[in-house]
Amino acid sequence: MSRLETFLRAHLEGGRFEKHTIPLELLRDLSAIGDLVIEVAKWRYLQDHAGRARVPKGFADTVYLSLSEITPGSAVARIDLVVSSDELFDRAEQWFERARDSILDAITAADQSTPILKHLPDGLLSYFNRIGRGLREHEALVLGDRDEIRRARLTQQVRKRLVFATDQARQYTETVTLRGYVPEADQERQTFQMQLSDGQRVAAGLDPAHEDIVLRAFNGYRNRTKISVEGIGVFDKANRLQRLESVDHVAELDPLDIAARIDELRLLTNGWLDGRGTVPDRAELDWVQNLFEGHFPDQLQLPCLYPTPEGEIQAEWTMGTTEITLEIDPKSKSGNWHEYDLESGYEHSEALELANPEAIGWVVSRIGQLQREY
Amino acid sequence: MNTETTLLRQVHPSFVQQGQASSQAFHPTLKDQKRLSVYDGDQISPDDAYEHYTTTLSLASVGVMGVSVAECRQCELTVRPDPEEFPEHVLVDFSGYSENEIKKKAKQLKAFANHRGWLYRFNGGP
Repeated sequence: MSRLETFLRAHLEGGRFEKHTIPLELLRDLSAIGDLVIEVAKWRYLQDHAGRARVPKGFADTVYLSLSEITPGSAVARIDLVVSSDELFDRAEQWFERARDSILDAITAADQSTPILKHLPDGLLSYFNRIGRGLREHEALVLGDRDEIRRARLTQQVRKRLVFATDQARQYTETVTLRGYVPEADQERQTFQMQLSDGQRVAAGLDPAHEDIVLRAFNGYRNRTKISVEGIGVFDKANRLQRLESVDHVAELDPLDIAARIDELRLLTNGWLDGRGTVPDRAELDWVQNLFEGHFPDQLQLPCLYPTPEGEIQAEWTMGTTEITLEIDPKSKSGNWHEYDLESGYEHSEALELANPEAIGWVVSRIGQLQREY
Repeated sequence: MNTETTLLRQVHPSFVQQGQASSQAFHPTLKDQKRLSVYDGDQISPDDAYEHYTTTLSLASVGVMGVSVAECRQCELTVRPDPEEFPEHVLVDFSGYSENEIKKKAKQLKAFANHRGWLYRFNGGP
């Protein structure tokens, strides 16, 4: 007869989890916690039994962690310890609980920049290459014990510290979305290269499921056909992307794709215009990206985006004979609309508070109207 | 220089996306005191103008576009040689116009230049 006990509570924090659901891709991360718990339990057991070379037979075979429910706040996964024998439960439980506590203590140590290796052996830290890999910026996986007396917060930054806490670690993996061109594809070796906006080339495997899109982008290299690739990126200690370990999704991008253009604008530094010209900071560019990606319907023509010497972004559309510019000041979240019909001479300008959804709605509506007219 | 003369405008790499030049390429910046710097196309070829701009002046350009003197006049902009800077230097004067009027004229010049196409483009350009 099997028994189960609440073992761990995994809180996922971030906008993606506000609907109290957990994206399937993160189940891989939770599954990796189970693998680590078993390995740490074995390590704990052997530490306390110095004379033993291995753990007792059946120590881990009849024990597993199971996701039992997801509750609100943002999304909380309850993970139970299931043991298929009462006898074994008493024997194994304490090692699994100690393993959990060690893992939580190691995460907290990494979070607080205190020594990690007194909580976990260096050989097991590579498990953090899998745990929390699906987390994005501004997201966290908060792990708590049964009564949440012990809690530990895992973010991408904390994961990185855990992986690199050992000198043996050479690389770190993270879920990435890359946008760029395909200058090389090798159908025989089933590989391709992505060229990113800064010119860096990243190698990846060519899965048959993605072959059509990748080869189209390869053939369209001179016409600057861009794709986006989501997968697992491998980084070195200096945080340089080395290659893609695996590719989950590939998509062809609109030639004016906003995120891809913002990637290019992020490379600008102050003085970009022959010694003059300031640049928006990272958060300001995120805001501009979200302005279009969050509010522009797919069927609407995307603008070209250009930096301005004053640190703003200028969006430009050409709709038939009408030339439109929208100067976007990401600091004040305001904008200046100017449209001019070269043929009729019709001109219209408008100051807009772009933090106001009504102003965005007006831009979307006006672009849509002009698109229909031409 | 006459009305048919093509005025050569260097385009900064950041003002081009998918081969399309921004109207900013034809909009004088604050530092320009409302005057747009161009080359007299009767005195220098587009590729030599590019070479001069990027090598002698050490400024960034991805290529050369052009508008004619007649097109500038159509936009009510005066054009005058400025050989003190260098012999082929010409200024297109936007002074006396408001910001919205300058935007309008920059858009007109961009349309004329786009219609003419790139006169020189370094290595394919962005």
